[in-house]
Amino acid sequence: MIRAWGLLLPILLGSCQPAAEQAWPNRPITLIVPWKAGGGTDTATRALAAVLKDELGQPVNVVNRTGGGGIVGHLALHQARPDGYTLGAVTVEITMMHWTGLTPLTSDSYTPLALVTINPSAITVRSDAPWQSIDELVAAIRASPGTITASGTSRGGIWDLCRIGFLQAVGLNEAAMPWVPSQGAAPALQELLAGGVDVVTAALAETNALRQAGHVRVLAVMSEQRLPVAPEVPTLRELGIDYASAGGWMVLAAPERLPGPIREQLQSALRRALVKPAFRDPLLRAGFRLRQLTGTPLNIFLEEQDLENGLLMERAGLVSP
Amino acid sequence: MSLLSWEAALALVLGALYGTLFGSIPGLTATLAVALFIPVAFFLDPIIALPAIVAISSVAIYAGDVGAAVARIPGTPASAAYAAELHRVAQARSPMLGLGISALGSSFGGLVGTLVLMAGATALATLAMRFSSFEYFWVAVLGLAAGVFASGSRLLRGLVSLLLGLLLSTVGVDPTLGYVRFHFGFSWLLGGLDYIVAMIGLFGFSEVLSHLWQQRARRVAVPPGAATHPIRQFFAAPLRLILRARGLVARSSFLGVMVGFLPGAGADIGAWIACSLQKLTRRGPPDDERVVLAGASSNNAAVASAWIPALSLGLPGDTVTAMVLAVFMMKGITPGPMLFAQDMTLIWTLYGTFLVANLLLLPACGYLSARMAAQAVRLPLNLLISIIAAACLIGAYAINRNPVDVGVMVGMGAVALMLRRYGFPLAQVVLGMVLGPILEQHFMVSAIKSNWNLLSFFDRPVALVLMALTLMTIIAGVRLTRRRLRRGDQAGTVSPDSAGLSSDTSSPAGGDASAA
Repeated sequence: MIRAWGLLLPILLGSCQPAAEQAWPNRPITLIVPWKAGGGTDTATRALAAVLKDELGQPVNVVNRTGGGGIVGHLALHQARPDGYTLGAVTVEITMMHWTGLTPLTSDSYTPLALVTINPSAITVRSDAPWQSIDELVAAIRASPGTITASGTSRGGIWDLCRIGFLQAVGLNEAAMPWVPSQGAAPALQELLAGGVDVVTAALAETNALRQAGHVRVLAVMSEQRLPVAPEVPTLRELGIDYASAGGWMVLAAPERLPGPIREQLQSALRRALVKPAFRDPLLRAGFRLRQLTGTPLNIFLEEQDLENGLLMERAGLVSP
Repeated sequence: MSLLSWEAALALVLGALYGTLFGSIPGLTATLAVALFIPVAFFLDPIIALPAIVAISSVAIYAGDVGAAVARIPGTPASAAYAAELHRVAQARSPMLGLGISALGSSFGGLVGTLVLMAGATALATLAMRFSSFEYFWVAVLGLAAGVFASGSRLLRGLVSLLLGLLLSTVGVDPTLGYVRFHFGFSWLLGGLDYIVAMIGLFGFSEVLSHLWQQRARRVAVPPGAATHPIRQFFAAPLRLILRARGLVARSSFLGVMVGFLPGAGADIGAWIACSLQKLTRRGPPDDERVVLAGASSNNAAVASAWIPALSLGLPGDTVTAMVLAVFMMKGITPGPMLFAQDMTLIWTLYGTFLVANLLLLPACGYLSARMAAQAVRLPLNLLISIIAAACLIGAYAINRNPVDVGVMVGMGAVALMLRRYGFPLAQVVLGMVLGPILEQHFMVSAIKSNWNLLSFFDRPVALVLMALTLMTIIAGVRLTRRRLRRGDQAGTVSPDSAGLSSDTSSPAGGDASAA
């Protein structure tokens, strides 16, 4: 037994050493997901891992580090060694959590690599609701402010911010369509079906099954273009309301100070991986939007998102001094 | 490809064996078994992946009872409702008998759940759509009331344990408004305490700690009937019991289905109501075997019915179905009536899998694991305890891959040691932690929706019915318990939680509890 260990141990240790002489990547890569297995971020990351594996020639493992409203996983990625072997999903919450003082982490705490998915908000009502269009809904809110309620996630979550942005764009204040907090999109949709709330502003990817089943009606999406999965649903801009929002998004990122050569290698691998049908098709069918964004444009996108969400949160009274 | 193909059959059998092995180890849970399988499922054809998931979840939920029989460590919050009773049956009679009742009860419950899923998925989904936060609030209250009366004659202690669980569930960011509570400046407490981690600590690690505390190498008394006639004990005797208690099995399975199909209400509530109903309505002395039967059948009935909202509305009922929906998404399958209209092969494969899993796999794998359990109770205690300690550490880490959870698990073990020392039940703590967030969140949402007009809790007809049920439970529970106390009939409920791996008499904790 001892002899067996004597033989095994050097092999085991050898496999753990960062072999500097070999080119990156020479061992499996881990992708940290700060949200639960089975959620949208998790699904998109796993789809990406499957195609990234072929590009990099190494296994890519997805690990869910959940808890603390996403803080635990985001922190784990931030604290990982910047050697290109630990990457992770950074989600829209990174531009929101620091405003409330929950965490000092911002998008600057990472090396962003590529935008993976965009998940735009959709204004969804029950199929037996009296409002057939956005105009009718806005008119109803204006006629009796505060009686029509909306839900989709917790207070100050991304779908709440989309609601505030929408109300602002039609010249209404935040209290005109009050927010009913929920534990995510699925419970909010349950409330919508049961008549507990009137509007849900969560992503189309979440409401699509109910939409196809005819239980809900989507009045508009908040993206800049219509979504391929629901080409008949207009955008707010088309309806004359000047508001578009990325909604929920996910960026693949590495810890800070990732060496330049590894970053370039990763970015080109991602550029190839993100256009593969094996990655695109299931996500498009599910209602996500995909947009190619790397390098400086991605950094600009992140900065804009940070300011935009910060502004909406301030308006909602959620920014801690 | 269909269920009849050898790949699908192989996936079904392998899934069941994996579920059995994984679920049987105390500290490793059914949820974890499915979670670890999901990355594999993404690469499989759905017609193979889904049967495997069905097999894993049906069998692993039952296999969690092996830990309860051997070491009084439940595999799910639902089986915590009857873990003490199951362990007593295993000790007093034999593990084969105890697990036989649990396996065949699960099998029957699972069948009822499947039949309901087949017959009325769409109709029940329509009913589920009528449940708003008011109704969920009352369901949670009903579950809490049932939890108190499941603690037998010692209502006050059960209540204290339940309140402790509710208090622990308030740690972290509050679910509705995002205020941070009881985190004492530690960022790792922001996410709150995971109830699966707490359960592993409360039941599993506290066994380890109490063994260390006593520092005496004892041998477990091998139950009298452990080795004789395993088949008769596992199949025949439980079957007779089920036939005698037809009404009980039907009622418990029905309860499991009714709570199971509500998305997000927690399938755990059904088993608690079923167990406490059995304890309250029993005539004569307490009957552990029937409590196990009630709990096990309603527990597995909920497994199948949790798929109802997932398949017909795309709303996940629990962690397992949430993962199933993710597999659907990856494979481009949209749940809802369209699925029933277009892809009947998949639907019938699912139904067939549920039937096979419950009719054949569950009893077969159950028998295997019960034989293992019968051997496990003969292991030297030191060895058994070491294995349990290792499994608890792994299980607590693996559920969220958060090292802090291991510390939380050990801490809960220490809390449990104190609770057991003074005769407080442990299962109610877990129930409190499971129902706390549901209760709080639905209360807050209801209050916000109605502008704090609290009378609105009594406005909706379904909510009123649920409230009446809760009141009836409380009134009946208090009256029946009082009558029973007056009769001095306390046998069997004296120290359900102090009977650990040791027999009552040799453990000082047990002695104290029965004196109290």
